[in-house]
Amino acid sequence: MGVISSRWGRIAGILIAAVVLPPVLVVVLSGFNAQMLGAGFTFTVDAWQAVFSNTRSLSAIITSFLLTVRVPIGLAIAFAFAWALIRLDIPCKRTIEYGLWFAFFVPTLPLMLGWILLLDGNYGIIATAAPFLDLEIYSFTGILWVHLTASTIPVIVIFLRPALQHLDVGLEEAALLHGATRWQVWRTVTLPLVAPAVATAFLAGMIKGLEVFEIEQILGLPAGIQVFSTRIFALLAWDPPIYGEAMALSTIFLALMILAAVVYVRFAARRGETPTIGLKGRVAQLPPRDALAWLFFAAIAFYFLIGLLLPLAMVVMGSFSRLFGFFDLANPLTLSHWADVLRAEAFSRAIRTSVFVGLGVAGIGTVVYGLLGWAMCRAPSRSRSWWLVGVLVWIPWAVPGILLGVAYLMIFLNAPFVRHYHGTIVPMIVVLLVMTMPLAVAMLQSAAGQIPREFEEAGLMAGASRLATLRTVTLPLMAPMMVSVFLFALMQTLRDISATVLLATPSTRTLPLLMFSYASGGRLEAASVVGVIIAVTALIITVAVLKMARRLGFET
Amino acid sequence: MLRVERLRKRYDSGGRRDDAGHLAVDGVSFQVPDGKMYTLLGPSGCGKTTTLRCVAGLETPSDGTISLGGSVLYDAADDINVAPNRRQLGMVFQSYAIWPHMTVAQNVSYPLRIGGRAQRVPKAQVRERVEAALAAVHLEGYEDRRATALSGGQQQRLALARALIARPRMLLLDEPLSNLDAKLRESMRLELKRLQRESGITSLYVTHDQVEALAMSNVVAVMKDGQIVQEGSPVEIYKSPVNAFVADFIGSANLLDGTVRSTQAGDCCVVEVGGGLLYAQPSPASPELRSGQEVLIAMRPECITIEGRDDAQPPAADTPGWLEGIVRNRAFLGESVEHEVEIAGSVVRTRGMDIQPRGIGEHVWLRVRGEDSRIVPTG
Repeated sequence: MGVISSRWGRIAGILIAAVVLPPVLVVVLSGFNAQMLGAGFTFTVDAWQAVFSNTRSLSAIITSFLLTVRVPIGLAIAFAFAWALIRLDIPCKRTIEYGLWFAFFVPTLPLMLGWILLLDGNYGIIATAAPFLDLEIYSFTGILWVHLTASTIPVIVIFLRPALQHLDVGLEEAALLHGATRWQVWRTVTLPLVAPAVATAFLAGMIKGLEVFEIEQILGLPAGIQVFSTRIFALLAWDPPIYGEAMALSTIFLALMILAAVVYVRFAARRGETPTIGLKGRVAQLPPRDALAWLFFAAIAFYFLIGLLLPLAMVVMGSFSRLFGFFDLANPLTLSHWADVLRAEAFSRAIRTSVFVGLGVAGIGTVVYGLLGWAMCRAPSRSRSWWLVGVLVWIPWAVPGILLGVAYLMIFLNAPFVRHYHGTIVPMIVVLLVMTMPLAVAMLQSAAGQIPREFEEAGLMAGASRLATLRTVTLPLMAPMMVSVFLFALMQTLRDISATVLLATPSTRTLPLLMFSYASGGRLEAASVVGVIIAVTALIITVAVLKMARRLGFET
Repeated sequence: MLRVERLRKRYDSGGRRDDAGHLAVDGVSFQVPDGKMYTLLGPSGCGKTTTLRCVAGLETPSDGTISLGGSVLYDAADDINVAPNRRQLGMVFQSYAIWPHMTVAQNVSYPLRIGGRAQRVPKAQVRERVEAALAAVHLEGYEDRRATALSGGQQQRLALARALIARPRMLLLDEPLSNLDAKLRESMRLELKRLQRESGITSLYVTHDQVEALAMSNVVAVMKDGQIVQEGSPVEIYKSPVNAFVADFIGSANLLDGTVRSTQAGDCCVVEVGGGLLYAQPSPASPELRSGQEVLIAMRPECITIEGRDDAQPPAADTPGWLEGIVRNRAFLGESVEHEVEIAGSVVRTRGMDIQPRGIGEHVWLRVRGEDSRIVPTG
């Protein structure tokens, strides 16, 4: 059907390019520019010389890569968990599922605060109880531990599960009937079939793992550990900011990320070709609940207990503690931090900003990306302009939040027309919209893809106009996913620190930025209070999203 | 009357230079008289569905004209292309396209509730017409069910009710029976035919199933590679295929190579095939035949009688109409028995009501009457 022509593809492509490409261009060009953006262009390689003469910048990149060692570790554990959840009759599956999605949505910072209370070398409960273990949260291993437990494992489980779920057991049964042993089936059939999905999850984990910011900023600073994102932050914190070097460094990082993204897309494309994922695939019959199921249940429960509940409980306690980390004072608990935070002008401003930014991002994102996702589904499959739209949409996925933040900061500081928006919430809405674009469009595209084209054609044939068909047929069927995307975008606003930290002014901080500023200013009790509030919101949103997913018929 | 003239549809390559696109419909012309059912029949990829979708307005043709009852729906030359929602057509889709978020009544009443103010029907009347439409397809009492709770056959009837409720100028059916199981398909075939006859609606039907086409249509057009290769009544198409493709596609014809031995003006010829001589009728499409010419003979399996060596008097040598062979395979199909008989290197299939299967390896005589074997062009 010629509903979506290539002309619309060109228009969409230009609009998306207008928000996606400038950050990349600003980063690359500014590294070679002796002047400020907008003031003119004077070619220079000074900034590049500075990068290469200063070991701190390059070693930050190397540290970033070293820290991704958590991805293979997390992948091994996550694969075992995902496999067990699909192939074994594990008790409390529903609860585990909620737990995984909660871990996916909850920001890492509150969990990190919990870990500080447990593992701080001076006052951490575990660290002081077992000094012989020599535990210290402000270290390379501390950073690894927090990431691994708080995000790497649950995120990879969530990535892997759909691929493993749709593996047709008929393929394995065929091998069994031909005389293969269980181990041979696993080695010769199962593993090759799931390998592309595992590789895709691995690369996604690597790319996302290179982008982290706030944990490194708070845990790495005291230990003198710098990664790419915190190095950029440090360069920009100078007065005057060292833009040139930050941009040259960013260019190197961006090149590496794009390389990783290209490899990822190759793998993802190949995964699309494998015959494992099909609607016809028969899902495995669960064996009776045996010792193995209980063993895995114990392992998963242990992970949730140690990795999620323990630090969360600690951060709740921390928010009530008189002095963060010191529970052995005469009168250790107090409500005063809650009272202080809730009464603070900064807090009510942060709530207001979060609501406006969150609703802006979620509202605009849901409508615009809903239309875009639908159009991408309905576009002629051979249209080159729509193919380009598909590529452009994924670019922000490979650009770290801090880098997007820097680029938009420079644009909103210097570019004509948009300059007077600096200091308002507009730049934050823009950067969060760009950041949520890849996943939101993918989610809505898949929802639109599940609506057979004939449903819309039947509307047209019944006499409804294109707009009426969109309103009465397409939209109601996409609604559950649109609500999910709305909540997802809202949650992004309540999680993000790296992309917005450079764009917010003290009067336009969102809740996570307020938490971050409390935490980096040493007010860990107040940070805990905000962290608990965000975590509770995340819990509510998790439940809402899963309820929606159920209604949509997705087994998450 | 629907009039389609020189219809062409080329799918462009999306600007790729190495690809000239694909010509799905290549100059198709036909007419559907009022009240008749016209069927486009052909294998997948022959352009039949694309043709139907061009009539519906869901595809934009590359060239040609489409008009219905005197009003032009599409004309490439005058740049006329009426939007699908303004063509006042009813359509039944292959997947039925029953909207899962609406009840049965909401689905069927949709065409009455949507569109411009002028087209909308007063509420009280909607109710009445929904009841009548559902009654016509035996779905009365299902109004408030969720549409997804219906079985495949019921969804199919609901789709039909929805297509007819707004009293469209024409009904388009895109393989509407292909998703049903064999038994249901048979009863729906009769049901569809009855509804079409009773409502007297002009219909364009697309299918790849020759039984459906023959059973339901007033006129059948067989399509191949984007073109109509033969158009005619079901009996004509069946009895007088114009070429080997049609003969093979309609039913399952045996095709044998042969050489013309003698011709009689306008009537039967004698053709030599491996295994014996046959009387055969020239197809209207085949040019003048002469002695010695290589030809192709089409025979329907059900028109060949199989005789045991001992049952019948062996015919005199070289009597046309008798072929000698050996049974190589057989299958009992319930209402009939199929045999594969080897005749001088080629295999001839027969189908008969003779419940007594022949033994494998048995020597048999095949008898073919002159009016049942046809000389077809090899194209």
